[in-house]
Amino acid sequence: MRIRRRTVLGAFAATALSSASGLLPRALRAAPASQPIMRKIPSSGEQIPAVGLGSWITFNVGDDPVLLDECTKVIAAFFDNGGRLIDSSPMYGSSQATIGHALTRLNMRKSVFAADKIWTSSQAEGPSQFTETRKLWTVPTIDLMQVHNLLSWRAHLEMLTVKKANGEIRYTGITTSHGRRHDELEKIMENHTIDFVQLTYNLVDREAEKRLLPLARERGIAVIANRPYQRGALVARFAGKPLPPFAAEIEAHSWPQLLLKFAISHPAITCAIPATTQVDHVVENLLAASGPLPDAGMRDKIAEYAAQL
Amino acid sequence: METWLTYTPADFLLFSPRVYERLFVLHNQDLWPWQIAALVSGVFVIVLAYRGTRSGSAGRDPAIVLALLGTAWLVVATVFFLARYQAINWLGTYIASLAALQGGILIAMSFSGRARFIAAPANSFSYTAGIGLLTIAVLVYPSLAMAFGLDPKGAQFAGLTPDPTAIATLGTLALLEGRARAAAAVLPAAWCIFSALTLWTLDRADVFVTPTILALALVAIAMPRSR
Repeated sequence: MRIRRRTVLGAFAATALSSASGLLPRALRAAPASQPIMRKIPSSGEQIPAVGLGSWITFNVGDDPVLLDECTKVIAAFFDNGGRLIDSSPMYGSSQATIGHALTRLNMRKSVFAADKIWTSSQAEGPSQFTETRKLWTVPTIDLMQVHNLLSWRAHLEMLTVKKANGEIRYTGITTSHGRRHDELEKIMENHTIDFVQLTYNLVDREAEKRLLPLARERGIAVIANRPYQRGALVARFAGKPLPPFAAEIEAHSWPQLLLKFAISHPAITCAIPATTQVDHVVENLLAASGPLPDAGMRDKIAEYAAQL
Repeated sequence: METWLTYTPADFLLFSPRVYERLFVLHNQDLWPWQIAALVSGVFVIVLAYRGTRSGSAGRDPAIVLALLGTAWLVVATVFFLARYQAINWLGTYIASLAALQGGILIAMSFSGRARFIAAPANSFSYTAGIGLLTIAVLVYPSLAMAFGLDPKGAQFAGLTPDPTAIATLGTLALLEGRARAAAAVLPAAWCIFSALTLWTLDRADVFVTPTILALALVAIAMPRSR
């Protein structure tokens, strides 16, 4: 499907409608303007949209009713535009509770692909943290449980593997960020059975391309790319700079869209998880996951162009 | 170790500038009208400190001031750190414990019977700094939010929020004799540094306020006392 200006405007019109009715159950809200590209989880064949929703900083709003409503609208727009995977962690303050609040208000508890993490150095605390996480999300099961930043990963991965076998979760994973501890992650990917890895991957942070992404393809491990905008730093860096002329060929109408298309166009990347507090940004992110993606040649051109700016 | 060296304070930031700003707005909404009581208590502390340092008094005045400040820390520990801040920062519970400990230290100093104000004429720098810091904490701090373009409804009051409470404490310690003043300054100083790092990662314009005040306070507290 080709996306023209009319489609983009249509999507933003849908966004406005979503914003107005963002707190309504899904059946009463606007239909999605376009469907994002789907990607297969290698270990199961299940398909998920290539763009998900991160929650670091953005959904940590405590019990502020105004901000809880705003986050609910962002999550409503995410679902309205075909999104499914939301990622969080006990480390992210009240983010899990915010997501649970929104899922309850939107009646989307059964539709979300819930991705969360175990984040504790204590082996004994792992199971209780999992129970607390499920309670905060208000969902019957967490789809994907990951070990956060390799913290006490042996014990937690063992526990999660048992939970997967028991049907309490559907997938296991390990996460890292900012390019840290790739050597250790590589060993885990080589020697253990995991469904997902999560790592930092974007136009600038491409270390994972050397070993981890090829290994993920080889071992049939899904990859979640975190920090696709480097927490907004890349968007700020390119703001006001002209898009490359060839961006139009892949229907990237803004730098965020080009950056996201770059991240999800690597064949090993299953899903990228930008975080945002803005409804229009979440719609723009999901639009980036529709239409054509850059091929290997264009990816090189994008990187070359960005390096010159 | 190499991995740890790659971390920066921004990596530990958990919330956005807007969330932190609104935290104080909601705090004030929930506590109204206790801000008036905090303000009146703060002025009372300034008056006692002024009177006590003019006469270099021991006994009741410094004890009352320390007891009020100790109580303020207990209030901050419970109504700010535990009831509010903890929701956006998992460190909140630990910080609340330290704030309560600070309250205990000040109350213990109050009941020790050994707290004594410096004599103003012989310790002019510490006296001026101490009274100045108390005045800033109690009377200037509530207007800082507005001065820096933040929501004025998020004004901070000594006794209800940590920054002005820490500064009022440091100001009072600058006016005291005895070695205990240095020990009692450790936690308020640590909070000032933590708060400044938070504001720095949030890219706030008022980031320089607390470190500047802290530097002045530490010099005033460290100055040798004369009789």
